[in-house]
Amino acid sequence: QATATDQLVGFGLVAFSLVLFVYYTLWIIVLPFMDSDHGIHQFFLPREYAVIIPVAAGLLLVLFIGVFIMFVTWKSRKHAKKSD
Amino acid sequence: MTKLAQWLCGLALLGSAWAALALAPPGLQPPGPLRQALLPLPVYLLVAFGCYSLATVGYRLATFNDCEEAAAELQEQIRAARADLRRRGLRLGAE
Amino acid sequence: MAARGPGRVSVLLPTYNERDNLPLVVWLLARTFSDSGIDFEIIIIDDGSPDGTQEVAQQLEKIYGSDKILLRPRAKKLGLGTAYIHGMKYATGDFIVIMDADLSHHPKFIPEFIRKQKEGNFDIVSGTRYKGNGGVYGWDLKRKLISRGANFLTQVLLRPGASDLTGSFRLYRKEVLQKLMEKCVSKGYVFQMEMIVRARQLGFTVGEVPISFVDRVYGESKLGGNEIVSFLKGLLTLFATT
Repeated sequence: QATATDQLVGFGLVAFSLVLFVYYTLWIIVLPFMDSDHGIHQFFLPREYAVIIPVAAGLLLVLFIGVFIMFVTWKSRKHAKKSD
Repeated sequence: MTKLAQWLCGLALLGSAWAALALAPPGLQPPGPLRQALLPLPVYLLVAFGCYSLATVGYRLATFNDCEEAAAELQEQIRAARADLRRRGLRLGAE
Repeated sequence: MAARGPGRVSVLLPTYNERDNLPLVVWLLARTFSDSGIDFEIIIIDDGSPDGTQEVAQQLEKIYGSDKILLRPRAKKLGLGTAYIHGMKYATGDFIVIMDADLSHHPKFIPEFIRKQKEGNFDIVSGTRYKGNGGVYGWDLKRKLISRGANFLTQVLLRPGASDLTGSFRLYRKEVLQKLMEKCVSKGYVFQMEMIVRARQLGFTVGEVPISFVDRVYGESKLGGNEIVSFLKGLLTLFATT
């Protein structure tokens, strides 16, 4: 049995990714087959953003990981110097 | 074959299949809406995989057992062990 | 090889500053083994702890007998992998259990490991925190999230066929451990990971038993940026080379 917080955060993550997946699937796969005057289009940004946003998010993620690794390496190197 | 090579092979296969369809000469291209769905497919697969990862990690976090009984049992046994070891003549450090 | 279970089990206990935990672990081990009627020996490999771990070990040798408790110390801290190699030289059992001496691994699971080993005639039985009734205690949300994330990443990249690669509570057939020690070069978390990956490469079978992991009662364990980065490095190295 997991703690209440773990369950809340865990299932929160599941719900979030499910919503994201359904929304994005509608956007990429379903929308091209809908008539262009269908009301559903008002819930989505112009099509080019369907690529721009994920790519930007991915780059941000990679940037974040890179900065994290550099920061950690830099810190441990400083630490090693001190203890010499 | 290393795992890295396996991944590269798989990605190359998928990538070339996609490129063949997306960059086909106009006569051989799939009809309009299908083509529109096809073009961003690599990004779509990436996002879908991201969602799957996030959901899996979330689900496993939500079902990660918190072993409170095991910890309590261990504390109980530590007390018994201390008492028994002292009786057998072990000098234990400060508690 | 004939499908027979362990005759004698050798437990390798690498220690460094475990004066408080060592007698408790040994007591629990001795009780578990005598309750389940398994022949055993405990090999304590102490890396020159300054806190008097070795004096405690000598006392334990007297209490339990020097055929059950073998203190085989080394002069200084030399790392986990070489500690196993060192300890294995003195092991007389046909099966070897490696575990942490800090009470995070409870000896009560060893009889289950042995049962599992007999059941499938496995070369390795690995304790897993991530399956069935397995779990952890004493971790905060962040640590659990990182652990689950790292485990998922490992499963995706390496497809190792075992659910807990970074755990270090395992039962090995002696000659299998010997062969693996020759092959494995990594350190820390990655070392445990490499053992399973190489084992799979060499065609050894791995069984799994759910364990509860109770994080260090005395002393501290940590998971900082450094651990994460070296884990990632090791993971990617294994990804690219195996």
